[in-house]
Amino acid sequence: MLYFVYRELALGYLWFAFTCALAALQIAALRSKLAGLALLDYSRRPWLGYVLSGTLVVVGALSFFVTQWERIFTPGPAGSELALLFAVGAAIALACSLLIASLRLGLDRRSRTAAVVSSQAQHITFGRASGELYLPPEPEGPMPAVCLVPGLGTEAWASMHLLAHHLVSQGLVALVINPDAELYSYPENLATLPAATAYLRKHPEVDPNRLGAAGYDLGADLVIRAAGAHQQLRAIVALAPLLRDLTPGLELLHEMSYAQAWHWIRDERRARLVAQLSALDFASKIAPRPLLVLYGADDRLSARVSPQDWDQRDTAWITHQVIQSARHLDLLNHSSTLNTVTRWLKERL
Amino acid sequence: MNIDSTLLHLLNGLAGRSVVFDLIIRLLVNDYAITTALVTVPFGLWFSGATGRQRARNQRAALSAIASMFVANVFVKALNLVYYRPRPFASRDLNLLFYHPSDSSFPSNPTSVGFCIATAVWLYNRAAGWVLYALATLLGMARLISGVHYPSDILGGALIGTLCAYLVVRKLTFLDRLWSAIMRQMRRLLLA
Repeated sequence: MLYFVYRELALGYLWFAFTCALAALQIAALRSKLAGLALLDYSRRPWLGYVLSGTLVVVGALSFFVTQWERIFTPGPAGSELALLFAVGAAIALACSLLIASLRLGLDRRSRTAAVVSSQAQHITFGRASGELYLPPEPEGPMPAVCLVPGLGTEAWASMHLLAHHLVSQGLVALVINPDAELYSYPENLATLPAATAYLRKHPEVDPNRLGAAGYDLGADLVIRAAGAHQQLRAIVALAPLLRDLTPGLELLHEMSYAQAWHWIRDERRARLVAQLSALDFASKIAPRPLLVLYGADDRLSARVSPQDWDQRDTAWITHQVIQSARHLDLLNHSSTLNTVTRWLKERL
Repeated sequence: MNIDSTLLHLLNGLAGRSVVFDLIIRLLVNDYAITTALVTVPFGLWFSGATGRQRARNQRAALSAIASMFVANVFVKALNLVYYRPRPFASRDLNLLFYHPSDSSFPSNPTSVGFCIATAVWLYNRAAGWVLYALATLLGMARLISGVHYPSDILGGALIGTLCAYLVVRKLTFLDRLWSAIMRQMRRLLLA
């Protein structure tokens, strides 16, 4: 039976427990880089997290001890009642953290998405799929071309159009395949990349013997799988391929808000397609053509396989690279990713 | 006078000399300050860890701390049913900085809770465990200085807390399966 002795004391302690738990969550968010729990963006100013946590504890303690000083030194709630009050305070603090971080990251994502513009692109269709074709403004004869395959549900964070812009600025043609439903239905999606390259081979400004493909997230799995059977591709880039089905939990909050993470895991196509494409098993068919596998150092959403995981005796054709301080969803937003991929493709096409 | 009483008088003699010192002890000895810190640390640990494996260890530490608290409380309650020791202020002239608790003086329940949380966490995460041991020791010392416990009560509480946590973490291995099941469910909710 709950009694609590004094209502004011119980409510005061609930507030104190709430502020302490909120401070602990902010320290955890700061130290473990859990953006989905952080009330503020601590990535550039980590001291902000410590200041906020310290302030929360001081404010909570002062308000509780000053207002309840007399009652504190009389018999108060039982230990079990205090435990219940702490649990409620901690649950409210967790809900507040997740909610405020969701609002903050939602606003942040909206502003970043608006910044991606594809004004140079020309909309094209090939087979049952469609895409945006980027051509250098002043073409100098037939040029190498790259098909870019986006990830599943990643467009809001990282757009392949950024990479397309970068490739075009370096004298390559880029075709960004649109993330239509077709791209995520197996086995229909296996025909998308051949259809895209067939379109490029017929284009007058493209050198049909210098074609490459780059995929991101689930798109990388698709590129690895399709490239095995499609010998016309001379170089393949896999950006943060998923390769294995991970059952992510709290890790998702490293990269997105709770609401976004919840939406992410509800999409059952991801796990199904990873299993259906089983890119790791088909990778050997790419050899001896070069394959660049690129991961963000802070990527928690993909399996992050090592060269040994490719189940090959000779893995000289595979290049593994890690982009420092990049995560899964912002890998394409790092200039070092764009530079590495562009340089690597230019050298091999 | 035995060593228990000598130590009690020595430490309680520190109280009542300075308003600032008494205020600090009263802040430490109450049921809210250090006890809240003792449960806040495992709560924060649940969400902490540079890798998935490290976080899983921290989460086991938090769950073990809860289980240890339960075991230690049951043990202390059972002990209180068979053995009652009057509080030191009942028969001695002491500088009392706290209210008059009426339950048995032996063992110190808050100390046993503090040490069981600290030990459960220490067995998984040394750094956080040491912080909690420091907090539990502060709580025990504050209760001694404020005159609500004998040194042997604090020592008994610390021993019971430590043993209960050791029992939960190292001997009751079936709990590990329960922790895995809880963590799996929390993972589905994206909270582990």
